[in-house]
Amino acid sequence: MVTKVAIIEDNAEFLSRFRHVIESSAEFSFIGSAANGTDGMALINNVAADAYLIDLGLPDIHGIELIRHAVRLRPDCDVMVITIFADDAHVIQSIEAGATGYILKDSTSLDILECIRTLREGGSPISPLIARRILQKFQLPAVRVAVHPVPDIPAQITPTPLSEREYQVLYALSKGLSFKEIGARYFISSHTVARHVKKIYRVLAVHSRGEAVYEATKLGILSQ
Amino acid sequence: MKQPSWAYSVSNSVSPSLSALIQSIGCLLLVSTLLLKPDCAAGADPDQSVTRISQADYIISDSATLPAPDAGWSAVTLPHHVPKPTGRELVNYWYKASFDVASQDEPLWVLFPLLISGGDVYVNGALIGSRPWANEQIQVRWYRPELWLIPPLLLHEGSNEIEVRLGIRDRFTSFGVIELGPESIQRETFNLLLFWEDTTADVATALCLLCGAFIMVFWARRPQEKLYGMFGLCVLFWGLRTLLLRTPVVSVDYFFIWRLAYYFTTSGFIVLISIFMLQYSGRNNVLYNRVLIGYWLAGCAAFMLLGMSFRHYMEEYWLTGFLFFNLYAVACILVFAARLHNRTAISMGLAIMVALGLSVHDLAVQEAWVNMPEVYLMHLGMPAFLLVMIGILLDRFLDTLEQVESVNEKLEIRVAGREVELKQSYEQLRKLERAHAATDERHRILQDMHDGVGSQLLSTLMLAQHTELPQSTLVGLLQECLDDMRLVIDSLTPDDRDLLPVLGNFRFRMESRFQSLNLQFDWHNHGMPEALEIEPDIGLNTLRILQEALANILKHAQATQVAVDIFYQPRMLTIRIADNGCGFLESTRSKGRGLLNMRARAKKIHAAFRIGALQPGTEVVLEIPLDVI
Repeated sequence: MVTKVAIIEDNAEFLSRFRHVIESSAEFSFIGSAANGTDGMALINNVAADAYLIDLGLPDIHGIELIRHAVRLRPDCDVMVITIFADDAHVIQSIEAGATGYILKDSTSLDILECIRTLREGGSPISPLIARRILQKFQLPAVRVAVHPVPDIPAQITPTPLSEREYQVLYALSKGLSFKEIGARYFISSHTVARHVKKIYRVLAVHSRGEAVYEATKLGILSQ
Repeated sequence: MKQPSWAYSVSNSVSPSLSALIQSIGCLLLVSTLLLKPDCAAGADPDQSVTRISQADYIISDSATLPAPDAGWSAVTLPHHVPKPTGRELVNYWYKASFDVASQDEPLWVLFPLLISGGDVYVNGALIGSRPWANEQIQVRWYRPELWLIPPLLLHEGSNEIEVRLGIRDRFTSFGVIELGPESIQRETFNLLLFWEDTTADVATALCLLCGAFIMVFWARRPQEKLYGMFGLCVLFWGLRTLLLRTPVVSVDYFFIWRLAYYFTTSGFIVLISIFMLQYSGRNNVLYNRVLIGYWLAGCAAFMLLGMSFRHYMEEYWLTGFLFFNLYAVACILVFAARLHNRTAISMGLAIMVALGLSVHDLAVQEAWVNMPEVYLMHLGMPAFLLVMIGILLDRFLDTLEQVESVNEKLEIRVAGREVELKQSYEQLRKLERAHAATDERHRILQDMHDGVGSQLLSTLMLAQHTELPQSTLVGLLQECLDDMRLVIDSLTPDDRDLLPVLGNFRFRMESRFQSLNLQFDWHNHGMPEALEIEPDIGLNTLRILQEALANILKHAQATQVAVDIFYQPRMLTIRIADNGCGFLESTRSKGRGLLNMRARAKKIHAAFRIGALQPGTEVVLEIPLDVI
């Protein structure tokens, strides 16, 4: 089954490169692109893709809005954010909006394809710095205050929405272990680790929505 | 003049319970006074079946049998309380009274509400009861009622006679009323009288002794509280005095010493309480104290010297003399109470007035100034006084407790306030620290831009301007710029100095790059801690050396395998990068710039840097001391 990919990217060179990479593989089919947010919204509305590659730095609408829109409108699709540095601030923001993957602008074509493939198979990429940032988001300040370094796997001090295994995986990732090493440690395959990561992303998205609702309720924006 | 601080201690905080206590003392005294007066107890509402005999005849006679009717009997009204004839120390009396018996339905019981001197009691010449009375060997005083059954056989219809034989050593002849009636009523009255005349006095005495001892212990712990000490002594003196006074039978051998002890304690009590009252009301007067104490000791000394013959003067004049001293002290305390007008002072004044009233009553009874039963009440005044004092002590204690509590509360508030202050200043400090860290970070990034990506971009630009660069070289140079920027971005984590995630990020980037070139890339961490806290500066330079080394391998080594091993020891981080390429020596020239860079960076972070040849390949070893942090 061919994976249909749509790209929203304002830089023509990147766009053509990505398009070229997608079209070069028989597994994937390029089904449309947009160079700004407005067109991107229209693209999402009109074209049902399996994967949307969305750049955050669009001239009119913020990429985050597009990610939200895509996730809301097409719950079965995967959204990948295109980033230059994959810095944690941007990636986390995207994940909270509903993206489940990210891709570096200077990735090799192999990387790009592998990334989308993994995503369709239910896994997600993650870097240690992003893992750390997500961990910090789930651990309330009390944990960060903990003075003594915790042995091996720190106990979950505050209840998090993560399962114990997801938590363990996230923690190991934040310490720089590869999927393979983590898989070996917990007797699971690296694919399973990738799937755990995707689940963690989804939990984070729900978690942040919940937080947003909570904040809004507190501020009286939403009625209870 | 030293202010008696405790007099003021209860200014406004007298607990309701204390005033209730004082009121109840008042009630108690009133009730007890009423009950103690046999006139009131039995006479005010005379029961039909109780006959009260208040007319009698008496005669002074040593005869062991009832003197003849014409022996010189005198008629008296009971209670009979008159001075004893002087000249003889021990005088024996006979009293007799007649009563009518109508019918013999119920046995008659004879009740003496007071039989202070004891005596043998006869009915129609037959002995029905006896209580030891004063003779050559003993002296007696019974502070209790007596109840005896008159055997019905002794009685006959019409006029009967009751006769009492007794001896008196005291200065006054004292003989109370006689009551006849059925057992049920008589016993009830007897029990009541026994309780008030005897039991209460015992309780009061025990109370005085206990409290006195307790207050003395308290005073021993706080000697500066002179008033307490004095009061404790007062109470002790009173307890002893009552104990002595109420000893019913005293052998004549000890009579003198007993009497002396009695004078000493009684008057000692009066002296102490007078001084106490003066001090309490803030009118301590050394002259008054000295005169009073002198009077007291002089009296006792005189009695010791002159013996029993002086007894009459002791009791008639000397003891009465204290009254003036005492009255002055009482006046002082009443004025004080009226002026201060707090409950403590007022209740103290009231208690003293009650005690004074009782003592005047006792004096009047003893000296036969009034024709009242010889019932002494003073022992009830003292416990009342004592209760007031206990109330005052309690108030002081509660006051102190309240003070301590309020001090604690204040302290807590202050501590809490200080905590908030500390927190604030701590937060301020944190804010400053963060601002400082941010400034530091900005400096560092600027420096990085200058040393790293900036100079790289510049040199790439220069190269591109002056020489025809092959595309691959240009790509390589630009890739280096981008890589360096990534490192800088990765290390931008001011809130967390853990190097592990940054190292991990670098590792993943390199893994994917080597993988895309089909090169084997192995990365192993050895004994890594949970977190590797390191100065951002050191971390970044370490990463740059690593990156440079790996870039060199990619560019020049033609290797197929690269291994990165990181060894952690508490004070040392060792990084070893080994490849299986063509070796260092073959490419010395082309690697020159990168090598210089690496050495310079290693020097900057005080790390040892060395390059070694492998067979085949090269290893780069970097040793970063961690105690630099």
